[in-house]
Amino acid sequence: MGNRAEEDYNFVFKVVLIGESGVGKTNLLSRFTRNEFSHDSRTTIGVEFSTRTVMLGTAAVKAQIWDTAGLERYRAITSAYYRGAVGALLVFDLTKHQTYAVVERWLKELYDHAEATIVVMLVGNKSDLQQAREVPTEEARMFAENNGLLFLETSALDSTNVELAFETVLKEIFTKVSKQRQNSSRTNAITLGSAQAGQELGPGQKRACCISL
Amino acid sequence: MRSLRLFFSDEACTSGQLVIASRESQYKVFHFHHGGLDKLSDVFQRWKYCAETHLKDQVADEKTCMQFSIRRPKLPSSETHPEESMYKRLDVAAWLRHLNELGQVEEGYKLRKAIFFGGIDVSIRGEVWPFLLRYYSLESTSQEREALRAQKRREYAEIQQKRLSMTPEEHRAFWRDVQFTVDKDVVRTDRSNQFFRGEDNPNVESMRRILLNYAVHNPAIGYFQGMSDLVAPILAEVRDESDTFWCFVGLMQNTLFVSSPRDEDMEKQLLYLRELLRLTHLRFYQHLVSLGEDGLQMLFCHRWLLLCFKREFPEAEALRIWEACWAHYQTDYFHLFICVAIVAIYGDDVIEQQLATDQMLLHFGNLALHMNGELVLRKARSLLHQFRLLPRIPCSLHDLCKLCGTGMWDSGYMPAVECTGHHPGSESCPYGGMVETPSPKPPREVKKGPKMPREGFGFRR
Repeated sequence: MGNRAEEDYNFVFKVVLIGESGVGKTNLLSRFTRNEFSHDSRTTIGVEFSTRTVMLGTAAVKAQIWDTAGLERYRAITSAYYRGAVGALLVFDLTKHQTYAVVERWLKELYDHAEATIVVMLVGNKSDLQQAREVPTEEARMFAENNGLLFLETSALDSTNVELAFETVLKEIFTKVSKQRQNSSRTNAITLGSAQAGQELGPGQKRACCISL
Repeated sequence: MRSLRLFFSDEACTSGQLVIASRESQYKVFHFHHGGLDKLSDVFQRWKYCAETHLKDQVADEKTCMQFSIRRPKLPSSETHPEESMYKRLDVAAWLRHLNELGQVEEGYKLRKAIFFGGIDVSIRGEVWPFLLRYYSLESTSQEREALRAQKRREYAEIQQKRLSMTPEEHRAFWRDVQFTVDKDVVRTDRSNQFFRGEDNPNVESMRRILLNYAVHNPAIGYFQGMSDLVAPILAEVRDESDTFWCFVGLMQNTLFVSSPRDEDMEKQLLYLRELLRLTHLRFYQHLVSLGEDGLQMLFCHRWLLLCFKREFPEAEALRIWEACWAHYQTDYFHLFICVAIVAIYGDDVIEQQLATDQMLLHFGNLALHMNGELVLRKARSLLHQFRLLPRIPCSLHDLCKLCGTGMWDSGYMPAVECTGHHPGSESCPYGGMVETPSPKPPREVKKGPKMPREGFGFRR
């Protein structure tokens, strides 16, 4: 009865969205997972996530995209949010310089909580509002290069680069995982999502792939 | 497909929802507003595949098995609060009967009880909420309230004046810490509500000023996301900027579930909730324990607590829940009983399919706006009733019994409080020495000083 295609996958990658409040994290998520955009989407409270399965070559990858408030204040949420994440989109609003000025602080928080090998992309969102731009593309690109981050400008509103942004991050993770798998003994599907289940496993088992990225 | 469930919403069991869940916990919900769901239920029940999977022991392979269940809104009479359905919604006539000729509420306890069970008619919410939010005291006369309003209006103007006369430096800091976020949030709060709809709506501007002035009035709290969600419905009912401001001040002071600046407050709520689940829904609690620390953090209910279920139910039902919580009837922590009720009614999948932390988050996230608020309220009231009948309660839940008004144990029946051990300072716990089976230790606990029995607390030791 069920739709098997949507539920068969070889990998689960947990990707977190971070950045200031109002930069468009939730709309990037809904554009990518449901192809939806809302002009007055409410502020995100607590933690939410959506999934979408994409094909990378012959492998089906289930992307589990986590979204939270730009101003989350509970440590409990913070640690659970980052745990097991293998990718991150650090989003700023290219029409509001203030949201770009704090990117470094977000990067620090990310590296404080996530694995050092996490794949990070700096995303300048709202590229449809060119006339209101406050952050030059080159400035952000330079920052990304100097910090070893991927970089793209997107518009969740008109869809520009949204697919590309997520897919680039997922491919990068996939490449790292594939390399890692070639080097180690065979493992089956990685379930990064169920980090708790992973805790019971030894370090060499299932969860190894996400730890040793 | 993972499950197929029918939730009846009316007593006659004809209307309700058909909910189909995929194995990824994505939900399709079909609403039957005008009956017919009973016919569908008959069909499904006659359908062999549904009938068979209904039996739990046939759940051999949880991944491929479809589960089928039918939920009727009636709780078994043994589970229903005995005073359920004795109260009608508080309408104008009933409200006026609570007031004496001076406009004072004669018996506050009776009023709160009536609201707890029956709710308040929409037409008089704006009038009654200021009492529940402790802007007006129940004992005040109409005359005193008018005087108070005038005085508070002046105070509000002063606060606003203070905000508008900041030095450029102060203003820069205020803009960065508060205004930047408030400006972004007010235009995306309750936009579907007619009251806030449209461009340049003056009510949105009013909400903005209230939040900015609140941050000036309470610099230690400032602004936290979620506050706009809490203040908007109050403004939409009370309709006066100054009155709404003071109601909001009362809300922030007197309720425990709202956006709070401190980690400890959330931790405390989660600790109580875990204990309450252990006591009332052991299977679910054990499932959380099996998931380890992340499970016990209960990410899925943070928003419930932060916004008092505003995003979990359609607005009319959510506001009924707010009123029931604000009534402070028998407990200050009714919102935790609501959490347990949701878990009890909608959490079977979680246990049966041993959902991991992330799947659990998805499960409850997808149920948002698809749950039956009236049923949850009834269940929560019955849980509170059952809690009151317990012969013993653990010391960890001692605070749930804080006296509010006439108190939780007003009928003269008093349970024993016993120490569960395993909490900081348990050696000196005033309820120590009665340990039976030690509970699994929650991974993070709130630091508490040794508790002293309170003056006037009538618990047997």
